[in-house]
Amino acid sequence: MFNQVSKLWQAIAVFSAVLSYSALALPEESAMSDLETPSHWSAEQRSVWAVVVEWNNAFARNDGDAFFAYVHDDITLITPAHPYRVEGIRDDRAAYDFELASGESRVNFFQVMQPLVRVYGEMAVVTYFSRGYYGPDGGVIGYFKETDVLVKEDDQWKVIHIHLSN
Amino acid sequence: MNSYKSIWVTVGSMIFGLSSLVTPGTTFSTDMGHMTREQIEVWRVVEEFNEAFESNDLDRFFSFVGNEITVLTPGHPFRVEGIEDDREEIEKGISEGYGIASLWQAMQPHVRVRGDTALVSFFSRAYLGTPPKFYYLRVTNVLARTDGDWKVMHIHVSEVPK
Repeated sequence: MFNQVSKLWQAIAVFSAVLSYSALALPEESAMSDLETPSHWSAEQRSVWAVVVEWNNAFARNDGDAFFAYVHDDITLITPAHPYRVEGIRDDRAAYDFELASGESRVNFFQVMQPLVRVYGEMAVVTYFSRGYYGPDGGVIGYFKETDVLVKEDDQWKVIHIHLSN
Repeated sequence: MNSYKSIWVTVGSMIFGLSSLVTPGTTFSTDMGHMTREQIEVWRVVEEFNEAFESNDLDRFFSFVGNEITVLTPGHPFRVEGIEDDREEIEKGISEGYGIASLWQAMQPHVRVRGDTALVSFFSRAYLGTPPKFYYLRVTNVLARTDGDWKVMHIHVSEVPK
């Protein structure tokens, strides 16, 4: 009897785990959803995170136009691929388009983990971890720590700084 | 005679203007000529913060740090959250020698100020550890001003790719 009850609880636990997982899983594996937004976040944090989610989804779809719609003209960028700081949307977009066309930076899979959003007036700092597959033929896996700094202008949050590191 | 006077008045004003920007005992290594007054104010804070780090002066260093600081560095895979964990690790690094700073130079600062928030990025040439090793780093600092004081709320440091 005890074993049967125990098995029943095990089955319920497995079913719950599957249900929880399916609630988080999305039709497109590389997409993110606001389901991942922690319930204790403020409305401000949620509004910032919603922008970062849409922006990252554009990145995951390799959709340059949608991606750069969230990028501030004065963006500065620090990444593991380049030793220097990229300054301005024009240089950033030129390299993005070139590397995407070459296949080098093609995103095949992209996931974000443990986001933390801090809002200080008109500036927001978003940090998270990511894993993805980048490059041609399915790509190679990459694990990154990311800082995104956003500023609010005309009631719209734009990404003004990215610092990505291994 | 008048032109002599005006030269000295000009020089005096320049010295006075410069001295009003510089805290006694503090030297600044960076050309700030292109920065606005707001940007200079923020950069002065970051330079003092950097000097405290280079001197391994933790009390001074953490006087510039906000309680909710988040830190991403090359030495750790995860994000440090909060001043207590950050201080504990830096104290341990200094007491055991691996975290001692002998040199921390900041180059090519880029400063943006939005009201009471500021975004700063720069390159750093650092000599760290025991025995010391050279590191070439990229640094992002985010600062917020509360009660008139700028505090560092976020740090992201990464090594230049080899």
